Formats: sequence, structure tokens, C-alpha cells
Amino acid sequence: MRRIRGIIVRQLLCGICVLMLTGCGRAGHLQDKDILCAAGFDGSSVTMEFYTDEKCLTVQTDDISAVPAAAGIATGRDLLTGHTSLIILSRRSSMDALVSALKEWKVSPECIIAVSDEQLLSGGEAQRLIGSVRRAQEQQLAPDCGIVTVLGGLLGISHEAEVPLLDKNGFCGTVLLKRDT
Amino acid sequence: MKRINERSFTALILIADAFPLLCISGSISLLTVLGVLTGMAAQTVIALPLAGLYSSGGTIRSGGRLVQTVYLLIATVWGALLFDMLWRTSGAVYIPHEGSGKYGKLLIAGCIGAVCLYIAVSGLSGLARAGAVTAVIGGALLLELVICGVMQGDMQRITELHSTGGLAEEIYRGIALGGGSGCLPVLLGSVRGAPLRSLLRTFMSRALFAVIFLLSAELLAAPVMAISDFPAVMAAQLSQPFPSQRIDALFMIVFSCIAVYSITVQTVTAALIAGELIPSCKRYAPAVILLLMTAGAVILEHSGSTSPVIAGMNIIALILLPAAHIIRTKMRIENA
Repeated sequence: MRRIRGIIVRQLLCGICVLMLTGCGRAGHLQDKDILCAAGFDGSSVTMEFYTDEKCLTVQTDDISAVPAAAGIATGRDLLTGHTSLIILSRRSSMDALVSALKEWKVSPECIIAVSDEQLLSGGEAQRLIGSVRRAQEQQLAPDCGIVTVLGGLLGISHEAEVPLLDKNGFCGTVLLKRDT
Repeated sequence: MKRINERSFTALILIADAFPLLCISGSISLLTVLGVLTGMAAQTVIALPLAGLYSSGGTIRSGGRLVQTVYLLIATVWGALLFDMLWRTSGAVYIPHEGSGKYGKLLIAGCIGAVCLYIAVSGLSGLARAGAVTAVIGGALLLELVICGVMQGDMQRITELHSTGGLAEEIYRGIALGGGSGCLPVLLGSVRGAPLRSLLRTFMSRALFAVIFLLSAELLAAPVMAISDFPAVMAAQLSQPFPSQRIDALFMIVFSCIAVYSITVQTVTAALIAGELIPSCKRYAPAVILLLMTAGAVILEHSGSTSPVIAGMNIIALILLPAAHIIRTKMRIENA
């Protein structure tokens, strides 16, 4: 009797463990989400371009952590920020935007950080800009500008990091991003 | 009481230490490593009378029932602290259900509790067997962190001092990170072999493990240390080789295993003492203790920095048994 009880308890435990393995089930379907490809911050608004939709979306906010919720209301879909490949800052953007992107948006350490003086994101532009920076890096014209490298520079002794400068033609040089900008 | 060999004892204490290190919060620097080393050296010296007591044939009963009760309390509080660390860190390592509020946290506690109970029911020998497996996968993670730290790390930035506190604060922090210090005095009595040798081997292994782990994590997370809430988790995120992943899969496995195992070590320790104090409750002790640990974690959830308190608790744990034994012996001589 005791042995049978032991077997039942073990099987119950195994069953519970197997049920717990379906951890991603609550996250919903991929087709119900907008996957963010690139974001442009200008200090008062955030413009987003998606892998899943050719249209761009602009949200009026200076709080990066509020963007997914605001975008959700605008599009009616959840925003997936973890695969963002490019973040374009204005020269006025603060470092907090990058900190929020790394910690709250959970972007990849290789997410490209660039600066632009104009609003560049529109349907399909992000992939071209990413490619432009990558080619410039291959030709050693652009520095390593992954978010961790850039934050490392801003948080380091020099308080600055060299990042690519973008315009509508793509990579057009580099600029020093300062911690207090 | 069933006995374990020296290697199993070292593995038990190392794994109990490993989880607080994985969940370490705040910046780490060379000062932190120095604090951990100093704290470990101080604990080794403090624990020498304990080895002397066990070498001369003493047991956990030598201190009396009150001392046993204090050890029961320390193991339970450590269990609660580990649950609290798990809840705090789970958001950063994307454990499913972590965002489901109290329900999610209790579900995690329930699942861990079920596995803990399963191991705890088989007692110390079952725990020792599970320890060997956990130590191997923990070693694989450490090796990975070291390799990634050396290959990807920024050697120049390792000397940057990110810590806000001084050396004294880092020593407190180092002692407080010793998750195995609370259960060491109880488990040392179960070791086959010379207690002094076991103790010295264990403390040397703990110091070596902590130093290698912290240095590797610092190498990897140094550029963003100032903004890292959990540097070890950040190191695991930055060291992962696939851009589609946000955290190392091996880290997730080790994190889960060590979370369960470190809580089980405290549960088994507390259950051993509870069984000695009240033999009739031996069967239900692990379940009751796990419930108390979960309740304790809910209370601790809103507490602030507890490093000095935990450090004090660890030192008391190491010194209490020999001190109580000496006092009791003196009182007995005086009475005679």
C-alpha cells in the first residue's frame, strides 16, 4: 500500500512538472504581436518601425517604459521589444532612454545605437539603415555601437561614446554621444 | 543521524552559497571580492572552535535544546531569505509566472516546495546524492562564465570601483553572501572524517568559488555595472552566444536547480534539528518548515538591506555551538 502511494505521489509530481514546462503558453501567439525592429527617440516622441507591419507608429511620450503600453492602445496588439535591432537617438536624447531600452525593453546587447538629426524611420527604412551601419562597420568606418558598448562608454570615465551618424542616405559619419546629452 | 563524506559536505555548503551569489544585487567590484575573501577568512577563524568541538566527540546536542532551537530558527530564516532572493531575481531571469503577482510567486514557491519535499523526505543521503549532480552543472556554468569573461570581458575596467560602500560594508556583504554558514555547524556533525580538514577544505572551496564567480561576472558586466540590478544575471545575459536569446539557457537551468537545492539544504538542516527536538514531528517537519519559510519570505519581501543582520546571523551560527558547550561545561564543573 505504501509503495503504491509512493508511486502515485511520484507520478503526480512528474505530471505537475510537465505541466509547468508549458511556460510560454501564456505569452500568446506570435501573430497577435507587433515585433519592433527599430525605434527613433527625439526626446518628446518615439517613432517605431516593425518587422511585422510596414507602417510606422509614433507615440508622444518621453518615457521609454510607457511606450509598449501606448503602442498597444494604438495598434490593438502587444508590442514585442526584445528583438529591436536599431535605436536612433537625437542629439538631445538622454542616457536614460538607453538604460530603459536595455533593462525594460530587454533588447539584445548588439542592438545598434545611432544618432540622427532628422526623423528617418518610415516603412522599410530600418533594414536599410541597419545594413548601412553594418557595411560601414565592416569597412571600419563606424565604431562598435552595440547598446552595451555605448552604455559602457557613457558610464565610463570619459562619459562619452562614439556612435554612427545617420541621414536619409544612411551612414554619414560618426558623432560623440555625451552622457549629459 | 546518517553520515555523508567530505566531498558531499563541501558540495552541500558550496551549493547553499551559490544561490545568494547568483542573486547578488548592487554593483560588484574588486572591493567586493576583497570583502568576500576577508569575510571568508574571518569565518574560517571563527569556525575553528566548532571543528575542535566535533573533533573531541561533541555533537549538535552539546549546546542544549535552546541552541538547537536557534539553529532551527537560523535555517528557517535562511530558507525564507532564499525564497525572497528567488522572487526578487525571477523577474530579471524571465521565470514564467513571475509577472502574475502574489499568485505567481506562491506558485513558484509551491513547485519548489514540492521538489524540496521529495528530496528532503529521503534525508541527508538523498540530498548528498542530488548535490553531486547539481555541483557538476553548477561547475559547467562557472566554466562558461570564466571562458566568456576572459574572451569577452574588458580587463581594463575590472579595476573600476562601482561599490558605494567601503571595505567594512563589503565584508558584511561578503559574510552575508555565505548561504552555507547557517547550516554548516549542523551538517559538520554528519561528516565522516576529520572535522577540521572538512572545515578548512570547505572554506577554501567557498572562497575560491566566490572569487572566480565574482571576477567572471565583473569582467562581463563591468561596462554596465553601474546600472545592473543583478550583476550575475546581467553577466549571464551578456555572455549568451545567440542574439535571439536574452539569457543563457545553461544559466536558467543552473539557476532553477540551485534555487531548489539551496532551499532543500536549509529545509533538511532545519528538519534534522526539528526531528531531534520533537521526534514525534519528524515526518511532517519538512512540510511545516517549508510553509514557515514561505511565510517568512512574504514578511521579508518588503524589508530593505539586511546584509549586516544576515552577516551577524552567520557569525552567531558559527560561534554559538562551541560557546554554549563551553558555558555548559563550566556550569557543570561549578555545580559539581
